[in-house]
Amino acid sequence: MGPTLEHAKSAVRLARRVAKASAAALLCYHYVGYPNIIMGPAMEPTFPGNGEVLLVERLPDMMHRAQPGDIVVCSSPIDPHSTIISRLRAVPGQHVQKEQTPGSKPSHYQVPPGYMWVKGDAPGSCEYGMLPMAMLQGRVVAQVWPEVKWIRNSAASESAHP
Amino acid sequence: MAAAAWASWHKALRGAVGFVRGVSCFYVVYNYGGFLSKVDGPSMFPTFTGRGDWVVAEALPGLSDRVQVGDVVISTRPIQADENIIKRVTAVQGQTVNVDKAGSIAPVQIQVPPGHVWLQGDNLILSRDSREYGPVPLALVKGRVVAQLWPSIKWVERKFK
Repeated sequence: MGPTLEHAKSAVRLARRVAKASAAALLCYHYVGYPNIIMGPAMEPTFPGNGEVLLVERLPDMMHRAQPGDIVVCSSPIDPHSTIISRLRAVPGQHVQKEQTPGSKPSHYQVPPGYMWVKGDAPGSCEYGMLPMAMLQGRVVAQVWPEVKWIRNSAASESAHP
Repeated sequence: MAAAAWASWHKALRGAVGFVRGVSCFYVVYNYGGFLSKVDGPSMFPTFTGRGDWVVAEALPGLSDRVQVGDVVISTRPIQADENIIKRVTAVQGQTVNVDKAGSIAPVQIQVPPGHVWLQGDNLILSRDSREYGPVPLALVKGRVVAQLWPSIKWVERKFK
């Protein structure tokens, strides 16, 4: 009876420690930052998309701090469970030049309030286009594997005209 | 002297850790369990009066897979990211919606794309919803309303038109 009670107590202690650590980790994941793995060619040549590990920051006030030229992590508009890594091209008020089909005039869109324009670096990459800014989850600040380097804002974004 | 300084440092640190623990606990419940929300605005009349009703919403993981037509959900407003809206889901991905567009004779047919839902307030006349800003990505849906607590306690039912 005695040893069983001791086992139960230490199991409960362990469970509490795990719960606390998980909650703290979740808090960090949502409000500080976390590592993300990028797969797929949408961000070539910046990232080959073979499992590079990136550091994503999620400090408060992301929507005001994210600038065109930043690489951002957004909720996927197609699958609410996954995320997309893309480059922020334009914020509300800025103009976006839509890719022109041969023989037609280039068309300009103005980003409406509350939305943003994202597009990958690879030429012809899938344009998710106009997403609500609320889908913004984080900003890529560094790559940690296979090589360590800071990721900086690319000052020139081809598609944004301030 | 040094011992006293260390003791008060230690106490402050323990207080800070306790605070972080409390916040983490609240955060986990809020994002992965359920939360309370206040309803302001007439767009869901008569389901809610819109004058400070309190509702309980569940935010369990897997919510986006379980959202069905007729559910009342709380979502971030697409055109204003710092505001929340409470609306009813009237169509899910793959379904088609007929929308009367000002200036056109026939209603426009819009198909709800994958990963999106069509939201409409129960009070159609006084609701700004998907008829204005289109299908809403499920990633913005934060919770599903299950019950009202104030001014009366009632379950919030799934309702079809």
